Amino acid sequence: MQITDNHTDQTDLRIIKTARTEQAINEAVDNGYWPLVKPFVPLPDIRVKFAVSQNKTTGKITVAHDYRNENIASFIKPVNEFIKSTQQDVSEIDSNFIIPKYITPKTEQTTVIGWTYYYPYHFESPFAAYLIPPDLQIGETVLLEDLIEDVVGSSWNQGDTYRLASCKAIWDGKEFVLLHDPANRISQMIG
Amino acid sequence: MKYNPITQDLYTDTGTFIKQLHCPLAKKWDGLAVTSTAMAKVCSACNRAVYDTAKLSDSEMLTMLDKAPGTCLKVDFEQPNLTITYANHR
Repeated sequence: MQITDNHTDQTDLRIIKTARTEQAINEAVDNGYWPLVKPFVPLPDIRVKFAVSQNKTTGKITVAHDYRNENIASFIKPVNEFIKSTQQDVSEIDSNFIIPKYITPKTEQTTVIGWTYYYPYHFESPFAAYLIPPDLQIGETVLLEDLIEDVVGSSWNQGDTYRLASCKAIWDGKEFVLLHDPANRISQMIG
Repeated sequence: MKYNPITQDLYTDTGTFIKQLHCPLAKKWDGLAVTSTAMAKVCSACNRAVYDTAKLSDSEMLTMLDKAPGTCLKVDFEQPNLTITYANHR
């Protein structure tokens, strides 16, 4: 990955770019920028989930990330397990018992990995640098186009959380002060 | 439709790529100007309409983006016609 330059959206703010490799950082230095180098530290609060079910006959797997996925066996409890869990003898089940759709047996599917959380982002280097233009003024508000800091930007009501991709910030002469309210988490995306 | 919040890619239910959603200005739906239709609002930063994908079908979005690739869209992670995925279909 080189210097990020993905977006040309209109904004009145100066855009501060991020370089994520040694080569990209040094190229920016050659072009007159000062690199504000920072380590990339993954935030444990940022995490997403997955589960895997497998077809017992074919071996093929299904990966799910959303509880609403109807094919994941770990979500749709097989009826025989449901019956076991209720301690009922099968003979006691009313012949008119109607199995609701959400416990429809998926007898060919078995859960091989239950719902598990993981950190989902990958970056080429464990460090990156904001590229400071020589005329940046103290107190100037800018747009950090590709945020290095791991900040929770959005979340989903199933528990998954995602990092903030870009953020407005004020340059204080040494650091960028992020203009982001952590409580202002959203569950939508526009673009 | 399917949405990947990691890559910000939006797909149809069958996995056809629709658009990568990104706005560096982090605009919020509630902050956009209302229009005569509930299907869209207007963003003052770029003076563009932003369409609510909750009120659009996959085929309607593909047609819309085919005619105007820069069309802005809004997805809500909890809208009924959306499934979250982390698979990369591209």
